[in-house]
Amino acid sequence: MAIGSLTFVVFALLSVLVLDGVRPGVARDLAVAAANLMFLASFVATPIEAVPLLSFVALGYFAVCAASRQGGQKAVGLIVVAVVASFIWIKQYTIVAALPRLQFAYATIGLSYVLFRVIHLIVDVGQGAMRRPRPLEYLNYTLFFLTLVSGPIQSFQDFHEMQRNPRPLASADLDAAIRRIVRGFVLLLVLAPLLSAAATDWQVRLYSGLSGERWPHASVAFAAAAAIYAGYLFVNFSGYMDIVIGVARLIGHALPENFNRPGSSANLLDLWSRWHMTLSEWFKIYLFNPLTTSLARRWGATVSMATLGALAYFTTFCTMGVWHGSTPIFLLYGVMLGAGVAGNRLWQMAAQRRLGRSGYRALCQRSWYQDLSRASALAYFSVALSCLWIDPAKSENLLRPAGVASLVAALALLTFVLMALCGAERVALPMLERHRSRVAGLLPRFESPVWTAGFVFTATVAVAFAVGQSGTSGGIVYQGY
Amino acid sequence: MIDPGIVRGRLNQVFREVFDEDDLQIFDAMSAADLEEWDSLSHITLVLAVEKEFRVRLNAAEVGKLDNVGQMIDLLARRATA
Repeated sequence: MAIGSLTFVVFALLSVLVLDGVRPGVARDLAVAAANLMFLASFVATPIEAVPLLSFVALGYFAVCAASRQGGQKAVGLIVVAVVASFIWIKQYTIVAALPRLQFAYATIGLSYVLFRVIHLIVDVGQGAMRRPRPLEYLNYTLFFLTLVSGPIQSFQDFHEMQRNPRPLASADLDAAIRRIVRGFVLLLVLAPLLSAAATDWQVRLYSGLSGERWPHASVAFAAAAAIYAGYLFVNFSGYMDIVIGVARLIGHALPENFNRPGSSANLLDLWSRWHMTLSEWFKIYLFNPLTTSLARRWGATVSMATLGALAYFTTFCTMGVWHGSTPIFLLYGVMLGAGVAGNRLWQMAAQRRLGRSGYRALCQRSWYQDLSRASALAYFSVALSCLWIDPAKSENLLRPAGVASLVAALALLTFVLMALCGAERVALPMLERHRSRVAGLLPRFESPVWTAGFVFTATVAVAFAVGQSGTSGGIVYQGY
Repeated sequence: MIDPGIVRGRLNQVFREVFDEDDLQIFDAMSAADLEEWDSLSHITLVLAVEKEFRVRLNAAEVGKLDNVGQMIDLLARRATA
């Protein structure tokens, strides 16, 4: 059941109606469990296809119980390693290709996100930061139908609080939730397919340029394909987020946000506090913080915190990259993310040493530096994301010196174009702000329920038309990770 | 439980040392947004200094959720030994 499908709309509507009439407590837990199982069942043709995923969920619960009994840093660490090893085997990462594998097709939908939730529980229960969840609470948390596919990653405590005390739905909330859902469908079903088609078109031009050794052509195509794909990924994922956050609000849940205007990031480090925020937060709590703390305790007296920090940033982002996929190209993605973020941090440290704290602050206030920093972060991230779409078989020429040069040229071109756009935005925004009230007066206002219903109806017709035109099924890119 | 006022005074001194600002004054709602140098890395330096000053060992969830000074004072008042 794709999140952007009509089936999901009907399923979500029924779930909202049922859950609205159920009081918090065991009845609500059972109703959510039924919805979760129905949603999960939609991804498998036969029950056996769900066995590996459900076995992993069961293993997770035993691991949480074991952490609850054993406690202690070493025991918790070993339990986490065992669970991650099981995950790697079920996901069939390349490094375990030599091991025996299951001889039937099976679903791994949401497995990565289940892993994040299970590790959160193992660590927090093992360290005594929270109680062990009861089996039904655990099942509902790990398999919650609105967050199973691609998050967001919510803490157990927040999920449990929403189950026990669902937020009342005022008419303004209802209005906001419906608008959010409609916006999500428009992004997912209308804009995302258009961007996807454009990105694919530029990718074809890139492969053509590479095979014909037309390097300038390849550089321009690479820059365009990388930028458009990054835009597509954002629209696809944030459209999904709009839908699940909106539906969750209708059943009394407040899911955490995953994006906060990533396009306005000041630098690469800042970008990760604005893009896929719940994933970044999870990695910060369960990998970066413990790793940096442990490195500082062991080597803090002899090695500078800047060096240890750069190492921790590199390890964290490398792991985050590898999480995206089981083949070597994702290792390259991780190395690019890790190197970029560690480099960003080292640059900040070096600039502060060289210019002094006040000098560095003054530099950060300069508009050209802000634009350069923002544009280079977005360009670098877009190029790193190319690991998610590039076809290695068609890109062998990129490994030649001329190919590497064309890649660097693509990065420089993209940075230049984005910097020009940042400058244009700097000029245009104050002008728009000055004419804001006049422009707002020209737009229709949807403050009453009637207007909202009309807006929803019109948007739904438009979406249905677009779906019919493009034939898209509303798939989510992150569903594959 | 230690008096939160005493915790505040000792914590203010830790902040001044970690962020190298002699006239830094903490307040309950103070978060990373209020202090430019308070990023993920300096957060760990801060946590280590806090652990040393208050002789506590904070777990992953606590370290991750110490978003502002008020939360730190509450936690330390509960956990710290005089």
